[in-house]
Amino acid sequence: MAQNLETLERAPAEFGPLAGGAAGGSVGTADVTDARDRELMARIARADDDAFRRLFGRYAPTAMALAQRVLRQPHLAEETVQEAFLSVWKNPTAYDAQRGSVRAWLMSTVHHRAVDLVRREEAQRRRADEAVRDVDVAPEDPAEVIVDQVGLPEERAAVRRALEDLPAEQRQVIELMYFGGRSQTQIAAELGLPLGTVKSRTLLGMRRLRAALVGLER
Amino acid sequence: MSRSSQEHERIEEMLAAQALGGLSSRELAELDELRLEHGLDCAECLELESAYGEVAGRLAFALEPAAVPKGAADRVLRRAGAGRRDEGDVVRLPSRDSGWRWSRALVGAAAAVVLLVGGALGGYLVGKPDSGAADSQALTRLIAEPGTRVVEFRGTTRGTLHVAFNPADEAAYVFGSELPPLPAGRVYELWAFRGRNPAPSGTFETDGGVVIVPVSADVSRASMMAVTIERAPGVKKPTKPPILTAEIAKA
Repeated sequence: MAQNLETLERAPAEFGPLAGGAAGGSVGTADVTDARDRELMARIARADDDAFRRLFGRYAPTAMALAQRVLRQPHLAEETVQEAFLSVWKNPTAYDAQRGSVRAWLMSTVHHRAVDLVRREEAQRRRADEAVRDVDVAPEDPAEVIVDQVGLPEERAAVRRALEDLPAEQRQVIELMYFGGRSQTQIAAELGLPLGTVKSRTLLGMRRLRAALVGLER
Repeated sequence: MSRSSQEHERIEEMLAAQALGGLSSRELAELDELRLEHGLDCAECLELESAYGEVAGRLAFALEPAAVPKGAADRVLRRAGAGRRDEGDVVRLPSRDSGWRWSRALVGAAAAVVLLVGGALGGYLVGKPDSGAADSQALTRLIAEPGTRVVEFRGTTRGTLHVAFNPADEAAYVFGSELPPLPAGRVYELWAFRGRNPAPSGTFETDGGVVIVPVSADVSRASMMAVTIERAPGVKKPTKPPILTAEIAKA
């Protein structure tokens, strides 16, 4: 098993840089990355602490960035990420390889929890907006060195490119929804748009992102 | 456009928004109803849900990674009480692929209980790190106790589900297989009815279609058990009609 993981870790150089832009988007490195992540999940299902630490080290920084962006409160974000990874440890079989990649599932787990908190604590969020506007927020404790980021810079570039390629109005509603924790109804009210317009922009934008990132044409 | 195409268009629109976290509680309930009417096991809808879930999950990687407090992984493991699982916790139960359905193995007969406990049907279930293997063993012990009753749920969804309970000690477990996986953010929720009043009795999700969960209610005092699909982590009162019910007749 260790030999397989080592082989996978050497593979990115052999596969070359992540293909991006064209339909079929993230191939090669991303596939190797996901195979390695599935191997880690299989080990976590066998209560392998080391596998959990590796997965955590690899994806907690992105999970933290996402939770902070949605929640705008660092301590709440840290708790959300902890809870999400705790659920991964306690219930690793909740991940279904047929439904998508490990990394997307992890981030969805974090995102769902963060949005649930946002919806319950709208009033606290308004106060946090006023408190943190134009201020960079950082955790108090010393941070871990970010390790094992193989493939992630390429993933970041591919996702950013896919978002930038969206028409501005589609990107706007998707970013407000995903990173802002807003519902469609809230976005429609904020932007002064009909709800149907928000819905159609969301769907069209997600179809484009799907083609770019998941490599499927509709 | 055919009715099916219209339904898929509408469902796809809602799935795309759901993946982004953009649906309100009311809209989530509406999507649930739509998918229940349409069929939870529609391959096209499941594929759409997976695809948009994948897209949404990967949007997070557009962000620059943030600093993570030192020791965070270890704190998670300490909270979980982590440790290597004893491989002796593996419990032999009928395999889903053996062609042997749980309902035939477990309803009624003491002989079926012997087959279950003896593992004669082959296959095994490895429990989840925190409760699965322990629940499997507890269920096995419960079924083997004198006076334990096993009642089958009946309803509109595929798969099988039973409740095992013993009036003498109030222990109860719900167990089943081949239940459909639920959309993200949804759970199956159990209810114990005394007369017309439902008491929340636990929630569960499928684990490759197999489930074994304790029931947090005195089943022997209930007139009926029911299962609804609710928003995670569960609700205090049912928000929709049950998909499965079990009559708990008095002995």
